[in-house]
Amino acid sequence: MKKNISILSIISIISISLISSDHIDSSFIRGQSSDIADFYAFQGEDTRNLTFIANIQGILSPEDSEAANFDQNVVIQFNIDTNNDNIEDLVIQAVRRGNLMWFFGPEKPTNTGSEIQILQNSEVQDFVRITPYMENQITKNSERGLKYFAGVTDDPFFSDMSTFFAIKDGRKTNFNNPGNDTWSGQNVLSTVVEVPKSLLGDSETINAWVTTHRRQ
Amino acid sequence: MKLLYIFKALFVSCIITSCSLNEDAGLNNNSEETVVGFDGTFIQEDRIGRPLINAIFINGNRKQDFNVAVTATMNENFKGEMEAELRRISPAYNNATDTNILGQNASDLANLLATDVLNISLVEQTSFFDASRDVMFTGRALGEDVMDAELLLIFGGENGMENPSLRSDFVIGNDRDFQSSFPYLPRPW
Repeated sequence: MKKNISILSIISIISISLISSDHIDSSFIRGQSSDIADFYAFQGEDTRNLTFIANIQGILSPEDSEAANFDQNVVIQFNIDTNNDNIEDLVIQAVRRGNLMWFFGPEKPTNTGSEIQILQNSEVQDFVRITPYMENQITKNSERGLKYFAGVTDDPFFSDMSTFFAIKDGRKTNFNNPGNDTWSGQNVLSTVVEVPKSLLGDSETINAWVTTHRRQ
Repeated sequence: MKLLYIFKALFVSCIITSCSLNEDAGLNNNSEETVVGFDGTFIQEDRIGRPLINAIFINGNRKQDFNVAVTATMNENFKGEMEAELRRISPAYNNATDTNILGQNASDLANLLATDVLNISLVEQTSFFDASRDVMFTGRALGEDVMDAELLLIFGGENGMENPSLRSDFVIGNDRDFQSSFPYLPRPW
């Protein structure tokens, strides 16, 4: 009898846990793990640095945020064109392994365009612990002067996108004043890397964009 | 014997399940596939340079073409349809001589935006569009109202005053304050 109760208890614990686990899995897939929400690039607090931010899997509700995570099969790549031909001369790559976000670069990519490999030079590799949801932000400063962060943050974008699409589709003719921020109270998965400008080539201006790439 | 087998099976299930819950807390054990190393080939699934370009100017099944486009080929592949969409949605380019506040006609603006990159200065202030300081297209900082900047270029006309109910979405800022230090982003909701 005792044994039977133990089995039943274990089975019920497992059932609850599996529901939780499925919730993680479905959220993982539902988030379209390679979907880029936004890209920022700006001078850092230390003006000798440039900060790059890639936000993906937007938008995440607070309910979905605890289970959200970066896809280990998706590389986030910051592409940097230093000679204004719109071809990446340097890249910075980020990909999750376990609870760490690994960073590679900036360095010349193995090949340009849509099909990429991860940089192999171990001298330009580093990692940061991914900040668990709602915990204090974990950052890392590297010996090369780079800074790293990865984790869930507030979605920093603001706009009345819903009304814009209504205008674009001919369902409305104007914005409301005040507008309604479509992204209010929502989160994203953020990858932030700050780089000494001295590692970004000799040009006074660069072009940059973010791509995501899935393992084949 | 059967009971022992069941217990063994349950024990294994427990380990796997508790591990995936650990993943929820950010620990390094989980039941998802284990990915080791950094080898392999990765194919592009999405891209972004300037904010909202795909959302505003690209329609239907061309959206995914835009997402997987190689940057250097974008101008020739997307400029035409972006100019057509700009003319369709905005009355500010109805006449052949119409321009925006930067003096760009519809073709000029589409030509700029079709190559979807952020232009970034390594020596000046970084801003997507700060007309008050005459700084534009030198980066994109957090907190910048890029929606209003693009609406101004799309709907504002030569003096930036045309179509007053379309040249701003009247959302004035983010719902959380940004930090002055790395990583600058606010805590989540």
